Amino acid sequence: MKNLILISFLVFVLSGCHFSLFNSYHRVKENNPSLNLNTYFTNPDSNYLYQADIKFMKNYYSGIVAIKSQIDSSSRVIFITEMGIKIFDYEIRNPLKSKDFYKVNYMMEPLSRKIIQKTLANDFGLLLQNANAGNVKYYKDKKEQNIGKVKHHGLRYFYFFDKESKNYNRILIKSALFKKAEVAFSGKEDFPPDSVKITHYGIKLKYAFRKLKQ
Amino acid sequence: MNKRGLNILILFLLVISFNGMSQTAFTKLNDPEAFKAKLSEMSKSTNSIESNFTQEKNLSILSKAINSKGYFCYKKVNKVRWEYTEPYSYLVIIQGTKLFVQDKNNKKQYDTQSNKMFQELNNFLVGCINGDILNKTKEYQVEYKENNLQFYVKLVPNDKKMKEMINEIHIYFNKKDYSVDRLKMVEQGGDYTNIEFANKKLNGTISDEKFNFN
Repeated sequence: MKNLILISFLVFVLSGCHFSLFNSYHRVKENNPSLNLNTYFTNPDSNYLYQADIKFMKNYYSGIVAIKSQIDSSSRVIFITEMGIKIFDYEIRNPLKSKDFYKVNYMMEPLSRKIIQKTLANDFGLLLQNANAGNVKYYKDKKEQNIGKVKHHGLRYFYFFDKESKNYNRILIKSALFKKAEVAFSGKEDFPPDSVKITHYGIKLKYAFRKLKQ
Repeated sequence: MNKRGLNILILFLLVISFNGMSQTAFTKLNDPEAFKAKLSEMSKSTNSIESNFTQEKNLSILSKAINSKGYFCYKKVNKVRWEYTEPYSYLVIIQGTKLFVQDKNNKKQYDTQSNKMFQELNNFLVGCINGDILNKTKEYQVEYKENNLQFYVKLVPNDKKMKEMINEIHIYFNKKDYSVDRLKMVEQGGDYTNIEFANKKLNGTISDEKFNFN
């Protein structure tokens, strides 16, 4: 009896999750090649500079993030303090194409634990992934706004577009049951976006990036 | 302006530019001990320093440097205010073993004694300003040079972990007053931070309020 109640509860919760996402969205059969699901940071001739705040639990880090797209389609991500001290330096390839998508060139010692390296790589990977490379399925919501969805390694990536915009304003990352993280872009019509925020739902980890004007 | 007048003007401008470029090449300093003794004497008689600074962070991946500028002041004993005003606002105040950091969104106070990294950074920064760093012969290999305007000291850390962060430190002291004109920190791989000090005021009155944690 106890198990039956538990199973019924689980079925109820799981169905709730399922319908809460798809009730208001419907699948669009035809592809929409005009929608851009690639990273905003693709131009090898541009230096992408952001002032960055990273909040993890009770810790707070601030500094400058430099992103540079390389000719071989990988990207370098370097985080330095305002005073110029380097905290980390990554080389990142499209995480949706390669399992070993990152290489750590340098990581300051207090952060050099594997779990921190991987978390940071995954989060910066979200900014640098090209979802066009995956099997994209398209949806529309009630307001006829476009959504592109890609599955990869048990996670689903939803790209949300404003109506009549070719550039996404939000990426939602979900596991089978839960929201994992969200990336929000603002001022995205001025390449690159004016600001970017990454929020995690399972852990207290947030990033805020503001474009640095030089 | 007639042709003769124009020639005189060009000659005048050339003389001015050559005067501006009259810094000679650096050669080995024959008596480093005399320089260190004089620096120590000057440091003892310097109660305060106030200066503007410009910082250039050069990352090999970027096609141009990240430039910032701000205001710096030092007051005996161990009080430092290091403030960036452009293109971001960022403030670091050191008072003895206490360190205060403030950016646009956050304020935080640290006790450098409880954090080895902050302690090292604190000692390093104050040591560069008052010249104490030159006495740490066990921690650095030191090379001395001079030209007609400056003493130049190159420090290479002996500690492997320090070397991973900063591979070489170059300090340029003004020959007139032994104050620091320029500080360059070179990382492994060649990325560097170059800080130049201008409009220096030695032994002026600096209010203690400048070092208050608000």
